[in-house]
Amino acid sequence: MNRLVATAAAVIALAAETAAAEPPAGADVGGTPAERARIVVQRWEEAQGMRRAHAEVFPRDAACEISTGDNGPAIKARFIDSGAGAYALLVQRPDGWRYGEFSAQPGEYWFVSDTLGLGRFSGTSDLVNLMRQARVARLPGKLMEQVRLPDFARDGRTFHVVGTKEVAQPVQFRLFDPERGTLVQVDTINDRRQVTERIRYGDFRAVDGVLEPFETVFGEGPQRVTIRTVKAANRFAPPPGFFKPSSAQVSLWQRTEDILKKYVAASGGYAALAQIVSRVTRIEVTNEGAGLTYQLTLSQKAPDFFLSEADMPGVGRAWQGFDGQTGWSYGELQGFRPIRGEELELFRRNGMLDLENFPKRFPIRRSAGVKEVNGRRTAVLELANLLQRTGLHSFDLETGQLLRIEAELDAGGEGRVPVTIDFSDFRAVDGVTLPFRTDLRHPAFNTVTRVL
Amino acid sequence: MRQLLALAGARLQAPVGTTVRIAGVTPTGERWQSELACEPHRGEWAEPIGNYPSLPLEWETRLADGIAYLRLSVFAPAAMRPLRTFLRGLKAGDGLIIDLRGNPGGITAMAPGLAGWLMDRETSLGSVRLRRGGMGYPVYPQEGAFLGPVALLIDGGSASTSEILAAGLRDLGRARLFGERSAGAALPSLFKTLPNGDLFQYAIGDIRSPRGQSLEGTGVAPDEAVGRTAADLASGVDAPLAAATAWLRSRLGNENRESKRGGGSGS
Repeated sequence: MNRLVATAAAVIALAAETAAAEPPAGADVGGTPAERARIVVQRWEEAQGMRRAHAEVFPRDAACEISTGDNGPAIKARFIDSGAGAYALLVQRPDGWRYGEFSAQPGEYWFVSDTLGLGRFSGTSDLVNLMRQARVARLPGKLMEQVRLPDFARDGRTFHVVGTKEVAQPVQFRLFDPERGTLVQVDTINDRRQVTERIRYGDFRAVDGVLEPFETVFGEGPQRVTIRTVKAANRFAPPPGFFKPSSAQVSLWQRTEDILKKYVAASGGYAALAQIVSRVTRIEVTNEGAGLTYQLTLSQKAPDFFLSEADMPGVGRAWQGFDGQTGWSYGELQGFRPIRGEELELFRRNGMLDLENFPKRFPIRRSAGVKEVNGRRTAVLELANLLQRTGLHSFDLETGQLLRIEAELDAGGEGRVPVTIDFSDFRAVDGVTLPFRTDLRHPAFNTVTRVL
Repeated sequence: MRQLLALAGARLQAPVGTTVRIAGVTPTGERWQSELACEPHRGEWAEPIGNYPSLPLEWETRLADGIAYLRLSVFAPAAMRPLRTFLRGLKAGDGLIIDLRGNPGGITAMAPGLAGWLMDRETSLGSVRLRRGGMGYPVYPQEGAFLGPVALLIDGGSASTSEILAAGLRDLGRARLFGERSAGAALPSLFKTLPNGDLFQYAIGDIRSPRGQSLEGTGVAPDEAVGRTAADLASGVDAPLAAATAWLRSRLGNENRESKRGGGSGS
C-alpha cells in the first residue's frame, strides 16, 4: 500500500512541478491539476459518448482484422460483446482455420472449432481481452487520483495528458486530442517511470453520433498487435442461446471429460498422482533401424520439468531439458538446439508428472470415434490447447489407460512426419501406474524404450 | 572417369594379409608395375554405432597465414570434438577450406552439426521425402560459430553426408565449391542385420538440397571445376586446393580493403 501511495504521489508531484514551471496550453489553464484533468476527461466523455446508458450501446457487434507487426496476413474476427460479461468471438485465421470463443456467464468459457471440437476454459483468452479494449477505453472505476500533466508534443501535434491512478493498479498516462477531445493513447507506467504497456487509438469515425476508434494498436515494434474495425454496430440483437454452446455440444464435451477423468483414475487417481512431485527413471532405448541400444536417465520434477541424460555408444552423451519455460537439447553431434512447439509438447506430455492436470492441460477436444489398438477397444480423442493440436489419443475403453498417441511432428525445415507412440506393460510404482514400455514408430526408424 | 576411379578403388580393396598387383603409366609414358600388401589401418578407427560399422578415421586441421584447412576422411562422431574446437578457434579475418574429397559420408547428423558452427541463423541443409512425411536437416547456429568465407573441396569420392553438407552450404550461400562433381550417392539409409549376420543397407527417402536440387545420381557440381591431372599428381600440385586458397585470399583481401574503407569513412 505504501508503494501505491508513493506512486500516486509521484504523479501528483510531477503535475505540481509542471504547474509551477509552465501552465499547459488550452482552455483548462486555471484550477488544481485534478480540476484541469476533469475538464479534459469531460470533453472526452462527450466526444466518445462515455456517459451513454448501457442499453444504448450493448450488445455491440464489430467485424475486425487483427495483424501482428508490419507484415503478415490478418486474422479476421467478429466480436459480439453483451457488455455484461457474455461475449462471442468468431475467428478466421489466414490459414483458413476457424474457431470461436464464447461465454454466457463467468466461470464458463467455451471454445469451438470445426476441426478441433469443443473446449472449456477457466478464463478468457488474451484475444478476447484485446478485443474488449479495442473500441472502448473507459476510465478505471475506482479512480484514486486524476491529474493534469504537461502537454506532450509529437510529430508537430500537441496532446493533453492526464495521469490516472487506480487502486492497486499502476499509473497510466492518457493522451487526448485537444481538438476533438478523443483519447488517442494510454501508457501504463511502472515505478521507475518507464512505459510498460502502450495502447494507441486512431482512425476515429462516428457510430451512432459518437466517435469511436477504428484502429487500435497494442504495444510497439514487431510484436505489436493492430486491430482494425471494419464494421461496427451497437444494440445488436443476438438470438437466444447465442453465447452458449448447444446442449448436445456440452454433452459431447462432458463425455471427453469423463474419458480423461477415467484415465487419471487408471493412472492412480488425483490423490496418488498429486503426491508424486519428483521421479528418476532409468530407461533402455533401442533404435531398431540403427541397431543402437543405449541407456538414459530421466529426472522429473512437478509439474513438468525434466532432464534426460543419455550415453550413446559411438556417439557420446546427450542431454535434453525443460525448466518450465525453455526446452533445450545438447548433443555431441548437433550442439545446442532449442526444443519447442510440438516437439516440446510431446516431451512434456510423455513425461508428465502431474497427470492429475491432464484434462486441464488439454481443454479442447474432439471425439474421433472408437478403434482397436493392440487388441484393445479404445476411445480416440483429438486433444489440443490454444497453442497447438497434440494429435489423436486412444484410451482403453475398459481400463481407461492411454494406449496410443498419433501425432504429426515438425521435422526440421518444412518437413513433417507422422509419429505413433504405443504404451504398454503398465506397472504400479508408489500407487501410480506407469507404462514400462513405449514403442515409437517414425517413418525413418522405430524406437523401443523400456523402464529398467 | 568417376566410374573408372570407383572401379580402381574397389579393385584395391582386399583382405588384410593379401597382395594386390597394380600397373600404371607415369606422366612421361613409362609403364610400371608394383605389388601392394594389404595391411590393417594403423590409425584411428571410428567406434561402431549400432549397425553402422567401424571405419578408419582420419582428420586433419591446420591454420597458416589466415587460411584454415580441415580434412575429414569419414563423418564419424569421434572427430566432432576436435573439429568443433578447431572451428571455434578461428578468427573473424580467417578463411576456411573444408576438404571432403574421398569422404564417402557417415553419420548424417554430423553435417547439420558442423554447419551449425558455420552459420548465424537457423536453417536447413536440405529436405528428405520419406514414404510418409518428410524431414529436414535443421541447422542450429552455435555460439562462437565461424562466419568467415568457406571453400569446400569435393570430388567423385565425396558421397552421402559429404554431398549433403556441400550442397547445403552452397545453396545457403555459405560456401563455394571447388574440385569435381561428387558421387551422387546421397540417399539417407539405415542398416539392418540379416539372419546370417550380414548388414543390409537400404535407403529410406529421397534427398534434395535447400534449393530443391536432387542429389541422387547427379551429384553436386562444383562452382569451380578443377580436376587433378597426372602431371599435377606427379609434381605434388593440388590444383583444387590451390584454386580454393586463391579464392579465399582474394575474398579476404577484398574484405580487408572494404573494412579499411568502411573504417575510414566512419572516423
